[in-house]
Amino acid sequence: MSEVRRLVLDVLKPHQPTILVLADKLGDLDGIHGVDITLIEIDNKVENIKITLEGDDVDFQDVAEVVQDAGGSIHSIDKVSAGKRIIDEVETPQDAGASWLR
Amino acid sequence: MSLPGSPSIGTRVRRRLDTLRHYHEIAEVGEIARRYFAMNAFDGVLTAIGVLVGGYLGGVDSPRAIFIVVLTTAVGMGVSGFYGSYLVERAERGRAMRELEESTLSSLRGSTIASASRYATIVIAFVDGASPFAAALIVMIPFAFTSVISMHTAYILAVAVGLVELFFLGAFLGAISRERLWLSGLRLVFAGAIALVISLLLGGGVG
Repeated sequence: MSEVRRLVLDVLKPHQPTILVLADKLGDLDGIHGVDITLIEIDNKVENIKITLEGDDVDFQDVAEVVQDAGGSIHSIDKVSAGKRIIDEVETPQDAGASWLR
Repeated sequence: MSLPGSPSIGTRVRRRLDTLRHYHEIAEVGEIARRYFAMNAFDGVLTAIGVLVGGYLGGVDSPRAIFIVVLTTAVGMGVSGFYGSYLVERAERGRAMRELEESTLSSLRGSTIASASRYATIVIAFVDGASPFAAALIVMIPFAFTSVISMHTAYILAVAVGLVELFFLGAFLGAISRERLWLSGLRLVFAGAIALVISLLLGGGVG
């Protein structure tokens, strides 16, 4: 079975603990080389964040546990890259707003 | 002694303290605990001074008797403070957690924020109970020396100890609000003095 190398999640969490603490805990997981957390939206109780993780073997269950422990809920898995190396999405003419068509 | 590969006791204690510090920050325990400490210690001192005035005017000349009266009063304040605060904090934080669960659309059971909430409830209840208890008992220290001083002197010294406690309590509040410490201290001493005078007048009037 191939390993997940990149994972992008849409998460809703309370303000506490902060994304600093969450990033620290995710970064400590085995198989994770890097974590990026971006704040998308915020209100007085909760914040919507995008978590990007890269590594040799990103374990979704471990990540989900850390997010849950921080009081967050994973709304969607927005992107997954798996296999021997990370490849990026390729733009095709069928994509809306493709630069080819401009 | 720890098993090979498992963390040492020192590491485990350090990790536990780090976790508690983290809970302390998340649940904003510091601000609430400081508030309850100041309020309830103030109550404790004034109550003890009131009991002392009552004892003095009532002619209680046994140090053991006056100590028991203040001790039982302090216990009552302590238990009331602890339990009352525990129930209130538990209710308020439970409500806040439920509102947060509605916002996140998921259960927060077992999460860090739930643990922090439980930690905060216990710490704040403890502060609420311990502060009036301790503050009242400190006032009684002079009565431990009635073998060398008279009861009359012990009463006066105890009231003085109470007023000094109020001064330091006021200075503590002044440090928090970054006001002049001596002025904040004097404010609380003034409050204590008013309580003392009213008690003396009322007690003297009844007698």
